[in-house]
Amino acid sequence: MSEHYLWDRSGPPDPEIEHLERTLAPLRYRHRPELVREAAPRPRLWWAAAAAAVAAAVGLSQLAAPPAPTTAWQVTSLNGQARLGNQGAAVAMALRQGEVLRTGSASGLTLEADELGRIDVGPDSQLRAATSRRVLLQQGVLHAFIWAPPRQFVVDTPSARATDLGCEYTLTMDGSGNGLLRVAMGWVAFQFAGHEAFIPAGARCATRQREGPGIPFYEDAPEPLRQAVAAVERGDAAAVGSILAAARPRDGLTLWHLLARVPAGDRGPVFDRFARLVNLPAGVSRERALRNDPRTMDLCWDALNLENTAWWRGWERKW
Amino acid sequence: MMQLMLVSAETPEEDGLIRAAAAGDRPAFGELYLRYARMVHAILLARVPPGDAEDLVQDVFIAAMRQLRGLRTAAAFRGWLAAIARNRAIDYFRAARESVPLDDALEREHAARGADTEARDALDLIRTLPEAYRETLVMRLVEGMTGPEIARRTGLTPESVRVNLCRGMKMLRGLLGDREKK
Repeated sequence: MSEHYLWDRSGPPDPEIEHLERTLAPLRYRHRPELVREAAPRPRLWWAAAAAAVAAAVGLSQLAAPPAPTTAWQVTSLNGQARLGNQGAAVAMALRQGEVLRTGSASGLTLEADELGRIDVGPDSQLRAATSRRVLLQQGVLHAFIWAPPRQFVVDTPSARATDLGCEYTLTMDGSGNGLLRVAMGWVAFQFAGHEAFIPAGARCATRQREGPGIPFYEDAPEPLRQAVAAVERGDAAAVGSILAAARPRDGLTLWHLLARVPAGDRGPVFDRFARLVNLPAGVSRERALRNDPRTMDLCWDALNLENTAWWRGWERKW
Repeated sequence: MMQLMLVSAETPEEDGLIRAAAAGDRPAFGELYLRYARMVHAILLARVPPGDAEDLVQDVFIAAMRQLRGLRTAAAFRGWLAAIARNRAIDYFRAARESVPLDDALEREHAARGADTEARDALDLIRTLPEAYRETLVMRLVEGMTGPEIARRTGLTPESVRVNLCRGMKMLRGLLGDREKK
């Protein structure tokens, strides 16, 4: 085979590659005029001075740097007041390992790491970076848009760990370790001490001190279901019936998590409602589901049409 | 070393474009669109039906335009844009599952748009390859991008792109050979 031709079309053409190019050409992208129309000759070189200034600023800051190594996260915007360790925060400052970032009331700050993503930190927040890929949100609000590959970035909180699965989400924590995760795009795995919740775009999940992630539900879930989920998470087992009564087919997500959380003796009604709302394949046995048999739980999950278990296995799902 | 220098030399110019686009400069955004549309289309085409992939390119750029403020470098922009495209493809199938069976949707899409059968068959074979090979081969064989151009647009090293192309092409030849035998 001609690697030169495959690489950059230099060298003698490879007949098979040429044939594929001709065959596949009808599928090639055709530019849409409506977005392209406004394109103009590109600006040139005015950015060089700014880039040099940033590089110089980074170099100077390193001369006086404390011994802790920097993470990949840098401040890219600041509204109001914030502190990085013992210093006032400013644009272009890097977050160092172990350093605490604190924002003032009515203040906000954006951190960005080229290969990881962007984090907007809201007012009255406290964030510490263990490494570039692991930060701790002690309290406050964090909005993350992560473009690193799935599982490479995690946010720890006092009561759960949010593992990015390729997504955009908002995490809010109060000072006592209770919080809320809302996912805008992609998925987040929310984990703590054997408890896991998988939260798709459009869903939310609470977390509580010493208990970990709660039961996720979609933002558009009926109010009775939302209230009943909160009650169950507070320990009111009687509220399970209200969840079942209010659940729509789309709330199979919530029932699936509930099935894995309620005591064995309470699973029957949950599975029966789940089976009525979700089109389960023939291989699903009620008896095995009540035992939380892993293969059966996989089949139940697949029936939700929220990516199949093969996809989830990539994230080491545990059930 | 020379290849890496070439790659990094491309970055500062795009930094300027990205900064300008983030500040609301529509011509700058249009230029980014021109440069990256084929990469985005290839990522989508490696996953979704051809006609819909073309529509989704616009969705991806509209999402990018809304969220571009705050990005600093071309290196970030590439991975970020690719992540939006991959997520959009996932959303596409999630939405498709909620409406009609996927196989039916694909069949109807193919029939309605009259996609060239041979092209569709070849694309289907490429789609069976591992993700890294699939995306890179679609960029090379469908979009007509060269290896160095793929490296610049994706942020992968030229060596990685070369490996993806060679291994992917080897697997594709194997699949084409198997199909011939049947």
